[in-house]
Amino acid sequence: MKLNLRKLSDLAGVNLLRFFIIITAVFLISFLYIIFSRGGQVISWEFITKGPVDSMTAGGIYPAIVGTFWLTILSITFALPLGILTAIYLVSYARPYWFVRMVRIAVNTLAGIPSIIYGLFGMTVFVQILHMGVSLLAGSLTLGILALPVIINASEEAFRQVPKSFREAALALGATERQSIMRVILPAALPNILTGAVISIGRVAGETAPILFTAATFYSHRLPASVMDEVMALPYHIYALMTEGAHPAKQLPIAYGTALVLLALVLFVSAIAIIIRYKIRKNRKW
Amino acid sequence: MNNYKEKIFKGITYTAALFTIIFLFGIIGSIFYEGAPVITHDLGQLPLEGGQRNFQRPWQLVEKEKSQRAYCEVYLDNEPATEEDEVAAFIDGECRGIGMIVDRNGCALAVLDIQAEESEAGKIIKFAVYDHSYNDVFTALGVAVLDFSEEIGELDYPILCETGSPYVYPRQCEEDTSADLASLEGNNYIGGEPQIFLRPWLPLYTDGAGITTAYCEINIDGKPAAAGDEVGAFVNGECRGTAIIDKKGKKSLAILKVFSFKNEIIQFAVWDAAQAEVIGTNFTTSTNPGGEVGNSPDIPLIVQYFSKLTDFIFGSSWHPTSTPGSFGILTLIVGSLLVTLGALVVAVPFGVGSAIYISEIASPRMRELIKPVIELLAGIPSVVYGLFGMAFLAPMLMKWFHLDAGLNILNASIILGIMVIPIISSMSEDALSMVPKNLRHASYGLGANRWETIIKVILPAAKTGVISSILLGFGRAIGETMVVIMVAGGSPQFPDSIFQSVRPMTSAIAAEMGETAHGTMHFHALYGIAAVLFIITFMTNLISELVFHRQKQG
Repeated sequence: MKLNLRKLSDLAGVNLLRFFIIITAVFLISFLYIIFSRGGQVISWEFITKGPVDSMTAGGIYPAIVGTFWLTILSITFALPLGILTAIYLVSYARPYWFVRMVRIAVNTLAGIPSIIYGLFGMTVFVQILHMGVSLLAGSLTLGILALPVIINASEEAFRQVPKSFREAALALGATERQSIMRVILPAALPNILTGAVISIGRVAGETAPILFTAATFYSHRLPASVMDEVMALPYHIYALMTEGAHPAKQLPIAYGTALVLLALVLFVSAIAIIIRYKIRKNRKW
Repeated sequence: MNNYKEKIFKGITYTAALFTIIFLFGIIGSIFYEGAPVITHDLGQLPLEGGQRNFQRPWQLVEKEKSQRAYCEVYLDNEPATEEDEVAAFIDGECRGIGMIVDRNGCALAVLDIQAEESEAGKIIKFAVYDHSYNDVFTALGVAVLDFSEEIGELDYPILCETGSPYVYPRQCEEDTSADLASLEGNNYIGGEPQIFLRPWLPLYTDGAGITTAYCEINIDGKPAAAGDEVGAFVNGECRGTAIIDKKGKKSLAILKVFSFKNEIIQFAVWDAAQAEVIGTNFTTSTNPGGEVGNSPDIPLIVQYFSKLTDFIFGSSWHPTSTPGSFGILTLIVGSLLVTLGALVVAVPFGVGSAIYISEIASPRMRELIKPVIELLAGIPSVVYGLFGMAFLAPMLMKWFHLDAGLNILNASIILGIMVIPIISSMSEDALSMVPKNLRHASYGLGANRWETIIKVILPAAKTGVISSILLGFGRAIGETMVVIMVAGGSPQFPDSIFQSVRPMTSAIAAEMGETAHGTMHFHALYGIAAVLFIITFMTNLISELVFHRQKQG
């Protein structure tokens, strides 16, 4: 009898866990299905190559795609070198100790700060104090700082995966610290760093709160001509379509379509990064 | 040459690392700096910038309905009362008004506004005088009848009042006074027995209460005003209150009673007695009938800051756009906590359950497949979840639960929960896979089955990692903006059920920042919310890290 009870609880417990993961999968699959099926109805070549017309009730989302593209590219351009250099400091130099500790605390704290607070920071510092105004530049810098902790952590992990012997061999051959980093360690770690960066691109492209007050505009009739222009962006476009405008019923399908484009972009980019990382790990000789 | 390059490169990496610290301090600094005025703003300052002369002297004080004014000349044992003494009026034993005694050329004068409702007409008003130097309360022999028709002591009173011109001020004091303890003359005089009223007097304001007490610090052209100068408060050009400036230490202070029965904009003017001119101020504030503006000068600064901090955090009224705005964020904090806890109720069983399944039961092949999928899901933009909750889940909830609106705590909790599942799941899975294989083998070797091994061996061993994953999920959910702004509904209220709408902190910031002008108190209050939010997430991350650190050490 006791044995049966044990078997029963094992059966029940394991199936409970199975139930949890199946329900989770059902949640997420139905979520993705809704977005893809409803968004799919409005997707067309015009939708992704034309601008919005008739006060957002028709037309496409091309300016928003362009805006998100530039926001993402600029923010990564800004964050990637800074992140890699910081990771180099943390891995290779790491002196004095108190400074390392402070940098680590800063990185960990930055990683946990809600994105809306980055938005407020960007508004205060870039938009107002540095007089950038609501612009592509202010938004990119804000997003860049948001992505920085992710990139630092990914880069540091990538550096740490490079075997110590690489550095030792380089130094033994007479290379300086800088030469060993730039010519040996960085090239070895770069593929992993880049996949980490690409995953963070996905995050940056989807962020809305930091660009609300720093970069985004509901409607712009032209594409951004310089970094000082306001831009449309995919995530903000979804939010604006759902909460502003005079024709909610006509705006809803466009919002679904925009969500589909954003989701597809983010998932596609991240998936590529994950696959590449998988390949690297598999083929790695060390 | 190489050495030189070496140093530059090292310097660059140091600088890059320094930037992370700069950014962190920049973020903390900007939100706390912009948020601080919520606590430190001083409504009592009347920053004077001389030159305006909008208001002509003498100032004509204008009456408001539903309070009756009494003018008294106050004697204590046949001696004029002194400036720090007070007169109070009582109806049915309730204190309904207090007047400070003002010395005018040897006459001790007080003006009382007696708060009452229309229905109380005909009631007897009794008076008492507080003798400050003896810390004693005297009861006045004079009593009056409340009737609202005119002012008590107005008609035949030779010192302060003239028929048809209420309170023309200042005036010469004539030495023609009665000799009562406190004298009230006029057609309402009845006479009566003394009665004892105990201090402190707590004025009881009825529904019609319309007096705002304003505490001001007055400087004229950067220098403290002289004692004896006067401040007048004006609404639409009507004088609604005056006060005489008092020196306390280096500060020149005045306490004004300003009359109004709804929120109105007060402007101030200062009578510079030495120059015999009226100086307008650029400072305006809004009346707060029955309440106060500014700080009582008797309360130390640190106490004022603290009380404003508690008003901000524990105040339950968030009406930032009314005049004057009220900035209590307790409903917002409660809203954030409710949707976050709701999200954890959804996400913890599913997230941790999935993690256990992946780590302990799924085949290695399946694990290889699921882990990257979870990583992908964690990257789905929150605004897309928000869209799903708003356009798909809300109508479903309305249908299932027969609701009028689908944007509520339940919806926000479900959507946030789904969003947090991948985060909790992947971190828990990491913690579970860190449990040494030996433990599993030992457990199975002793005859335990899978469920027993999971519950009694694996989970206890991975406990701290799982807890810190939940804390991380909490931090992520409470800081999430787009989901809650789209699906939580947005009413700043304490909800009765999960079908009601709330306004979490993040959604208040995001929704209102675009509509408020830079530098207003509303603007600062939004940064104040951000500061509170930062502290909450920071503490959560700190605890999570401490928990995780302990596990690593153990």
